[in-house]
Amino acid sequence: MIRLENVSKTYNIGTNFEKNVLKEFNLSVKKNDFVSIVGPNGSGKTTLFNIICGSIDIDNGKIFLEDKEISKIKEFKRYKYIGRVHQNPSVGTCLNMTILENLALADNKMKHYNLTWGIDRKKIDEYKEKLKMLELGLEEHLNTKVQNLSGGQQQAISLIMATMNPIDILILDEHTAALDPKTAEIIMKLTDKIIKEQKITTLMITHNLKYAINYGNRLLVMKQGQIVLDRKGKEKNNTTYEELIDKFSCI
Amino acid sequence: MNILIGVIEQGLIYAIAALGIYITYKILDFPDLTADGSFVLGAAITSSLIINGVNPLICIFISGIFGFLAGITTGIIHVKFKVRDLLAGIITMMALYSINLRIVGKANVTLMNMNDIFNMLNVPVVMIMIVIVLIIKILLDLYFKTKSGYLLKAVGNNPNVVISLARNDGNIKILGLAIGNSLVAISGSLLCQQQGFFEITMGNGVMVMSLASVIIGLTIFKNIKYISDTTSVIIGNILYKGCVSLALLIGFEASDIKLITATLFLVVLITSRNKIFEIRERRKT
Ligand SMILES: Nc1ncnc2c1ncn2[C@@H]1O[C@H](COP(=O)(O)OP(=O)(O)OP(=O)(O)O)[C@@H](O)[C@H]1O
Ligand SMILES: [Mg+2]
Repeated sequence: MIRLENVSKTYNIGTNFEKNVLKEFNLSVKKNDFVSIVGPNGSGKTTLFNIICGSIDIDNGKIFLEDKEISKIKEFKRYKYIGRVHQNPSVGTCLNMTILENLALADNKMKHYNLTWGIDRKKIDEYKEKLKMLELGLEEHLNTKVQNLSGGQQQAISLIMATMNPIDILILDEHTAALDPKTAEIIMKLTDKIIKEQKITTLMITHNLKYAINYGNRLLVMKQGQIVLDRKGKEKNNTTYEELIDKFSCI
Repeated sequence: MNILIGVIEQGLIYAIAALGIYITYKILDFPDLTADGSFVLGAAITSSLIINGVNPLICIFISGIFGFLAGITTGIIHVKFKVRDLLAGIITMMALYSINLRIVGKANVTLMNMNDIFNMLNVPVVMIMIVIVLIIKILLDLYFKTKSGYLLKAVGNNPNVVISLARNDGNIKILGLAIGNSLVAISGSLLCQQQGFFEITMGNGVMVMSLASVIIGLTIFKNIKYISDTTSVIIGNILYKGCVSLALLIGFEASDIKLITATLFLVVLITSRNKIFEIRERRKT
């Protein structure tokens, strides 16, 4: 489904702040895989996601989506197939607009943005149903501007917006990091349900090792731009918390 | 009384430009200096067409189309060639100065004794302007409720959302600049018809004046729920014109207007705490 071949990325080439993040990086993700990625701060996880989505250019290498090379394809075009929740909660929503307006905007992704009404009143109940699943009570605040919500609430809405349309790939960058433990649990279960129901190939970065172990069928540990542990299927199910902690602390 | 009517007339004419600046500055977060040029562009096209006997109403539409093109130009310079927003606007504005002189042929032209929309009908200028401004306001309000309007609001607020909707954020920005500048050009077209002459300098400071009135309007009516932004901008412009004529009444010279505008603008910026440039800088870091 997604394949990275010998991808290299260095930030600020030719300056004193030159920083090589990925070097000859290879990764292949199969259709319907749910991959959890863990790794210390600054290990290049978000950089990897930015490369897959086209938010940043790569220096070398190739990126494939179902055998089609997409390395040169613009970011916005790749989002026809990709849904993404960013690490920073405010990136995923329009803060000046209401919850309802944000959802309506996202709902129209596969259609045209023409001169018909932005909000389809008939769909409001459908939106409320989706918000109810978050168990944050947001369904009562459809007309609240998103800027008046907490970071965690914004993050949850980003998830709904990212998965509202049929997508092939879901990219989750610490999408539960801004949430309290109980809400995080709810959102994680909801995420898993959506992924299974819609059969979406998923990449998820998390700092919660428990989630990495309990969810998904593949587990990657990244360190200094390299994959230091790659467990799939059965092997992955047998991975223990202690083992992961161990992998983190060794060089 | 006459002064008051004059203020409202002028306020309504310039309010259309202010609505354009509201779109570029407030919705797109783009300080667009093209306005000083596209305002004159509207006037230049209108005066040369009117002299050639074209129906004044059609002149307004054609002005709008050319303003649209001016906005697209700035948009392409900014989006495709990655020139900073302020500079992109200045480049188009510069180019338009020469283009406008070419269109009219000279720096001043009188339209006295020519047909214009104000002497075509036997109705006071204020009434005609109220109708025109109302039509534009209602059309804009409706547009902002459409899918396309939502996308325009989204691109100024957070381009990432637009990108993740698989849409080209740059193109939508260009569309916004085009709509904004077509309104500015329509405003210029109406002003030259109302005052009965064209002057190459008539657009100087339009961007700053409009921005001042946008901020005045939005600040005053910020906490009143049932007044739409477009209404606030229109009233803001009339209030702004009122302040300027008050200054003239109490003894300032016409040549002081720029100083008054600059001072007023500064006061408005400081008191409204809408520190545009600071916000923009913060966002970049
Ligand atoms: N835009 C940038 N310019 C320069 N350096 C960058 C940039 N973005 C990231 N880096 C550097 O690249 C490295 C990897 O960053 P990245 O954001 O991919 O880490 P991460 O694994 O997502 O970390 P975290 O868990 O903290 O989110 C870091 O050392 C960071 O300093
Ligand atoms: Mg990260």
